[in-house]
Amino acid sequence: MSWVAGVVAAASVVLGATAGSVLAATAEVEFQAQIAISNAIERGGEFQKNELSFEPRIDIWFAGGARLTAKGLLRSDFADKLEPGRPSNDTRSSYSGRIALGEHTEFEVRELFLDFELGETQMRVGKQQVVWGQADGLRILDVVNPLSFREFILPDFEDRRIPLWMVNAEVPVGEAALQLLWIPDQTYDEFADASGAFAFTSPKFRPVLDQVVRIRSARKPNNFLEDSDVGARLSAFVSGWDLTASYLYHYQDQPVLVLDRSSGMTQVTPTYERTHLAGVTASKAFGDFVFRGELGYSTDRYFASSESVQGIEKSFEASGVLGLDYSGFTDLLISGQFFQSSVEGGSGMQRAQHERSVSLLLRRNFSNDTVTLEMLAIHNTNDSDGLVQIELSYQLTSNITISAGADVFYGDADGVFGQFDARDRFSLKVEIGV
Amino acid sequence: MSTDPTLIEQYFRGVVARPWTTIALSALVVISTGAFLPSLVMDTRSDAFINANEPALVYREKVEELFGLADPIVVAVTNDSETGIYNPDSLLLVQWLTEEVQRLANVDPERVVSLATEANIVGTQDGMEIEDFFEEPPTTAERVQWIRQAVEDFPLYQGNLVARDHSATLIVAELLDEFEADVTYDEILNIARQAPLGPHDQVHVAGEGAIAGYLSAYIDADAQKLNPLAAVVITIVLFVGFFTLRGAILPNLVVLGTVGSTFGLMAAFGVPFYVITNALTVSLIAMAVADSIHVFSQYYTERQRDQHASQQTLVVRALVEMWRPITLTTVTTAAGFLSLYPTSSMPPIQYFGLFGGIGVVLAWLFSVTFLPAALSLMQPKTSRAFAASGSKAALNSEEGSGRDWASQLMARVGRVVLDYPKSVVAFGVLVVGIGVAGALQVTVEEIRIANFQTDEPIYLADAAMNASMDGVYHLDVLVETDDFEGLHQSEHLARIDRLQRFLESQPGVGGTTSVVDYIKQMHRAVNENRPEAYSIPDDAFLISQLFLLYSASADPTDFEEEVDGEYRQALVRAKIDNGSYLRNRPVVLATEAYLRDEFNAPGITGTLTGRVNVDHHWVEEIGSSHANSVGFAFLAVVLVVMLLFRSVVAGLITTVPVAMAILLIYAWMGFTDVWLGVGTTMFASIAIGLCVDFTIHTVERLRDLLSSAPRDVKAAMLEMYPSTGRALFFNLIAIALGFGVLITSDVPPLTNFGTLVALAVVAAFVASVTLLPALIYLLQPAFMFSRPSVQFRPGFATASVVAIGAISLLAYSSTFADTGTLDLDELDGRQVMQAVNARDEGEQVGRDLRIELIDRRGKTRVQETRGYRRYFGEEKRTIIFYRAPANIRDTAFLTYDYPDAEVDDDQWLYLPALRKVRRISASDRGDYFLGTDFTYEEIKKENKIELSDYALTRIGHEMVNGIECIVVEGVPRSSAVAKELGYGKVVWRVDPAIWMSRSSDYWDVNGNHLKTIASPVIEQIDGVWTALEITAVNHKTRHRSVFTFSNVDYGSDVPAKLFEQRSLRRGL
Repeated sequence: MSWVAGVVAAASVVLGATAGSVLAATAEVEFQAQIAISNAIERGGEFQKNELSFEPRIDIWFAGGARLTAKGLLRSDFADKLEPGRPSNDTRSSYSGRIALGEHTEFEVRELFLDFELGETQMRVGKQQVVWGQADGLRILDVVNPLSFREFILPDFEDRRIPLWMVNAEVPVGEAALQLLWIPDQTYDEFADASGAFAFTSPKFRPVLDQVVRIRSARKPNNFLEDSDVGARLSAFVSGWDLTASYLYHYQDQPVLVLDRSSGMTQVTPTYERTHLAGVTASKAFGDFVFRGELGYSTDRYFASSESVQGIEKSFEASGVLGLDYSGFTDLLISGQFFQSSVEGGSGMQRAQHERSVSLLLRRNFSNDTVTLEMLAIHNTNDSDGLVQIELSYQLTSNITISAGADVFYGDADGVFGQFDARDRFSLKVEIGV
Repeated sequence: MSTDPTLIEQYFRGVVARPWTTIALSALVVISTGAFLPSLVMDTRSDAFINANEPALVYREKVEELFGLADPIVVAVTNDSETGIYNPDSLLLVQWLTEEVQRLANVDPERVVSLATEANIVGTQDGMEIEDFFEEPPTTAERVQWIRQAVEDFPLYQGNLVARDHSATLIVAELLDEFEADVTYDEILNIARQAPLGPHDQVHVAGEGAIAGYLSAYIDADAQKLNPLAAVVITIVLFVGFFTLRGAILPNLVVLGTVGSTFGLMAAFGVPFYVITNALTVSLIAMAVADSIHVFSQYYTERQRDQHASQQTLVVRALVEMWRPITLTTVTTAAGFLSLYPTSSMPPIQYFGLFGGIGVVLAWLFSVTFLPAALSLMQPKTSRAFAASGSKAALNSEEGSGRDWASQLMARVGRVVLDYPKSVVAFGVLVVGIGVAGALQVTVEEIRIANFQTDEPIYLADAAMNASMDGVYHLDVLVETDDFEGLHQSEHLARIDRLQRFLESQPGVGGTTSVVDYIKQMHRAVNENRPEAYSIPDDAFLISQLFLLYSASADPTDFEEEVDGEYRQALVRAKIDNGSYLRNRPVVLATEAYLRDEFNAPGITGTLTGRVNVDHHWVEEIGSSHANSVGFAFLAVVLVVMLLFRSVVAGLITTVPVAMAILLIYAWMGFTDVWLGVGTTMFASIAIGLCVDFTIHTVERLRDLLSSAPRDVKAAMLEMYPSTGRALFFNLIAIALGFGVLITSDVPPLTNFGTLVALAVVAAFVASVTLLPALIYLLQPAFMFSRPSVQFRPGFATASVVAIGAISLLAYSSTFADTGTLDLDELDGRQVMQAVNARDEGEQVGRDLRIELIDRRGKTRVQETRGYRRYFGEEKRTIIFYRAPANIRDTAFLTYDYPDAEVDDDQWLYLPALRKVRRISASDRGDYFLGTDFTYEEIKKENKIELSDYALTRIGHEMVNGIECIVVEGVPRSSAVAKELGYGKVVWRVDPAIWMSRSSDYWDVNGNHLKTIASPVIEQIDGVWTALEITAVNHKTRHRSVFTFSNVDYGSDVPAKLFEQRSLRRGL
């Protein structure tokens, strides 16, 4: 059958060459890629991560003005402690999954979208990230895309967000802009499984159980149309204020763990629930200060509870962030945030009625921005636990950046951050642009 | 005549074969351009004459903004009785007028000043009291007496608000929108008409706002009168010339199409209708008809020659014969008009020249398309005017007997000229002598009020007000001190006081006002009104106290026209009783010298501004730009003639009558005291373009006659008179009468313009048929006797137009680039930087920017970006997208730079790692932009600066890369500004040819040399001077940034939506 292979090969070459030349004639193509080597060593001296990644990016500008952007990620982690074994695609929709290439290696289409205009409306259709909100590191409205908690919250949001297939339209409405989203992609937050380095152990996320349980497979929405998320955001720039108002009708990306004790044995069913989220943001510069504010209100949230039969309790959730950035010192940014989330509250609820966090970010640039030192501290005042991240990065050449950092957790094992107290790490990363 | 008859003939045959198509196409041109007519706007502001970038104007606008000043409409109440205006009736009238004026929509009620709004400052036991003059209505004799006493005790108001002889008082109303001045002027006139006058009371309305307002209405009325008149006059000339209806109607249609299309194009390009554009209408009417006259003359001549030829044949023959001369004259006339465009600095005159040139070409276009097409549709007809002279015998008769009166007249002229050629030349030399003598007496002058007839109410009002008051024209000095509340220091105030005394000693200055007058008044008030206390207190603290006291008991905004809120800047205003450039020139020069030599001192500077100063600066240019225009028009015309005749001698000989005509006009101006002003400055260029038409026709015809066969020179030359001479005669009548219509204009400058052009064409005509043939007869230059070796081809006309265009461009760049429109040596540091800021950087631009960041060891980082900039009104928005390397790809920076320095700019940074648009503070303008050695301020401003940041001083000249640059030093106005900018001192080296800093140095707040920015590569792209390479070297870190720009594109549209946050997120 070698002649078949030969024909196929020849046909592919011809087709490929034709497609390539057609593309070259009608469009402008740009290729970029980043290679990164990142290592993380845990407090005990063991490698937590030993990763090599390759991120290619292709941009194609078509003659008609449309643009296609494709980004991929090929990643090999030789330590394999974050997600031991082949990655699971449980929380992902069938068309958003990762492709495992062996035990250590995976490939994922990070982004693949087409930008074009319909009249004044800017369309972006395809797999993409959409970020809402003004807060840094703390999420209220930035929930359009689900997250990967593979490394908890340590990596950049950019790398943690899971891109979704969606239709994103931005329509100018007078001076304002209206963004409309239709997201028929049922992909949700991804957690490290129990064997992973950053598996969740805090009771805030797990039902309190005193007996053997059976965890059933998740009840995941799967209807392409009915289970779509939709959202709209109106943004405007009014007398120096950046203002937005947004609405998102979506499935909460964290599953609710519903208990069923009827059969004598407790069964846990992770279930995804819908909620309406309405929010507003505002920001403005006042001299050396920049004020940022974000408020969100979710209608139907479910929290682990010891007093309910189903192990959950329903409540609204109202959250807000106030942030203040100060840049009065040359090359230094100081940014503080206060975060609060409030729920109706119940005696058995595993989380407090009011959760409060504060964060402080210091970033100092040296030597014409070739050296950047950044310190981020997040502190949860309810549990008195938190995280301090320090990173020093150095731009060796235009294309090579070396960075070293430390991530230090503190607090009680029950806390969101405290649960990872043992995961403190030192990391080193080399990024090379191609 | 033409060597390529087939081509031309084929063309005209085509035209007459498809007349309807040609007519439809012509109509299409007229309709498509004329469709824009409704959008034509009028701009009769006098400021419209000044190039918007003229530093004096820019500065005055800034000062107006700072002190909230605007051109006012001034209402005067006069009373010539014994008591003057100090009687209840007059004062109540003032109150009534004030209230009525305050109600007008375009008047800021807060900015109406009269006795009814002002307050008296008097001393009381506890200090001082501020009491409105009209706190109690002035109904009783006692109150009137009190007001009179109060005003007389308040020197500030003397001659300013109330005449020193009590005969008049003013109500000064500032307008919100100068463009609405005409409506407001009408409304105020209406109020004045309804005013309840007491015995002896009179109300006048004048002021700069009123002049601008009335001028537009005045000109409108004038145009409505002139334009039909010109059309009627032309029609009569046509009728007399041809005695046929078609001969009168078709040229009028050509005129209509030309005028409609020309103004339609003006509207399409957004060029407004200025005061002098009125003259353009009439000029176009006169010139558009000239081509038709020649075509019709030839048509009727052909008809006489061949009575049996078909109409189509006749039309084709006429045009084949005439297309060349009308094309020639079109080119030369257009050259004359177009020469105004590059040589004048006044937009109304520039556009007059540009659209005049376009109009002439359009008239030619319609004359070779529409005219033959329409004519071919009619039945052949004989003109009675030609029938009288039309027999074959008559045409060949050298004596001209049996011809019409015009031919006979011209034939007689010819005989006299050729019988006494030497006398004619001698007479010509005599005329030149007289011309030179007269020309030397021409003066440059401009008086705006002279735009009106002397019996116009506004002219009378202006005269009355200037006679009774200190004067309604303003020469201002902006005094700036370095420190907050610097004007609380008595030595500064004393300096201002001395300046006021100096100004008052100048001729024409009736009085001065400044904040010092208020301080003296207050000082006296707190000293029991003792006259000797009318002085500046010696103590800054006391001065502050006085201001505080005042603000405690009255409206603190009362001083806002004299001093800014920080007491850092003050306006000293001198009232001048006339608006004459000539009379005010010595005052302006003396004051400039006084400021430079005596007033300016460390910590305090004075800069001259105000209407009188602005007028001084731009009128001063009239003289030089006039010389440029004339020289340039001459050159253009000579070149075109040389090119067309392929003979240098021809070029020189044809200019003799033209030069004579122009010289005679100068003599006329010199002897009759017509000054060279706005209205008259453009006559010469236009006259040159028109006058050369006569000489071209003459030379062309004479050469034809002389070279055709060897025979008696005199006899051959005589033949020119009855034929070409006659056509020229009617051409002259049409043009002279057309421009002559302007003489009946009510706008004196237009009258002068019309007179001068009409006289010039008459003189040129006379010289063309006398001096020119006499010279040719005496000299017998060789070129006249040889047939042109290289024949004239249609391409020549195109080539000529292109040549003129190229010369215009050259002259344009040299006029403006080399000498600019400013006297460079007189510019101070601030004005230099104003000019830098005023430099055109294109409404929009897109460009690639390669950033190289090089550290002290030579390690280089390279970043590629694409950036766009666009102006939204005065607001400048810039967006920069990073394209490479991959690690910063999609980083983007957006900034809105607001014109108001008090408003912080808005800036956003999009960081791809956060996927968020972050608002960033714009207050630290001195922070370095994304690792470069340029600050955010420098990225935003791009070779410009925020003027209010610096005290600017011109410190000399320096050569940068072989180019002489003006060196300006800037010191931040306060330590706070210095800290914000990160600089303690800056030195710019500005190339005055392009108004860009070629190199600049920066010192930090401690006085250490911090960095150097240089622009080694500057090129002109799409007409905009563009730095293609900019380097910044930080001397402390020895880090360098090299910005290299490429693919700079000012032409393509940069969509407004690009400058929105969503663009930051989307990337490029």
